Amino acid sequence: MRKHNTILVALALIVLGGCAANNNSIYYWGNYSQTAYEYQKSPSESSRQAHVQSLTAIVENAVAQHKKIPPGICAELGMLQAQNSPKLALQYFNQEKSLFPESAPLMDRLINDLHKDARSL
Amino acid sequence: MRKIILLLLITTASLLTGCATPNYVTKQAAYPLMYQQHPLSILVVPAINHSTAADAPELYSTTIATPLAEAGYYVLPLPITNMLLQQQGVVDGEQLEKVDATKFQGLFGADAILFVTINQWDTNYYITGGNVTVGAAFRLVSTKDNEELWHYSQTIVYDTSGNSGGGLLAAIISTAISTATTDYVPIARTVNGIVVNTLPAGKYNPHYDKDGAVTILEQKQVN
Repeated sequence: MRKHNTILVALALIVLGGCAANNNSIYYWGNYSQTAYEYQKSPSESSRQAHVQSLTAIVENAVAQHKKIPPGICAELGMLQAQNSPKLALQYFNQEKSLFPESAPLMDRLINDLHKDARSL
Repeated sequence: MRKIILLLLITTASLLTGCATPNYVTKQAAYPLMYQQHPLSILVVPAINHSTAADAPELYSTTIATPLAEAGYYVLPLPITNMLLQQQGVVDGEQLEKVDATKFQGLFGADAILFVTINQWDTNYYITGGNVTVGAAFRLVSTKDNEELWHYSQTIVYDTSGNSGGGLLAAIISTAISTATTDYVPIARTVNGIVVNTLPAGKYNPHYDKDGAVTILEQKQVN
């Protein structure tokens, strides 16, 4: 039993060490996983708003947290804003493109769609 | 705290299974194409669902971007790619398994496509307790030449009975679990963590191109 405990303590230390290493994350994720999950699980105006807020907070606070804005955050925010505020959506799609140049093919496609929608109005 | 206990259980489980077949291999030896092609942008297609839970792929889709991004990859935003694929009538990754992957280089600017197959997403109850199981297999396919770049699979059985031998640990676990008996998502995240750990680091990770000698538990074949 004592041996068991030693193993458990050793494991706990390894695990805790792992948690500390988590602070070395490249990106600032804020509440992303929680609000993304809730919006996916029960889509509603309020879960959508909560997710928009959490994405906006990531974009605004990443620098203060000495982390980068993660891939896809600006793009997702742009998509959620496209209907209400195409101007804002365009700005976010361009921000995604400048943060991650490899997103250009997809972002250009979304930007084109925005322009098409604007023309059809 | 709950996360720590979960990790503790997983670590124990993986160490125990590790003892059974201690066959380690370097990342470079296991996945040489990753080091040749250096994919950067990854398209994660809707998960292929072999479990009995209809909502598993959608819930799962919210868990995979974070670990892949932290591993150094550009993950094409899932809410957007899922929407675009849906417009083309694609709602299940299985529909794309036979499709020429090179198409997605032009369509999405993707260097590789990640197929995730959810094999288990279950809760089992029995007289003394129960468990939650999440099992998934991962396969990364190049959009340059349709070659498989990387694969790994993992199943985690999360015991919710809390009386497996008694003792302090069991008591703590049973308390931690009682409120989350059927919450698969944290378990899915742990599966992702273990699996993505075997993936060679991408461009945005400091270990990029420096982890070829890191050893992982060998897996000959997915499923």
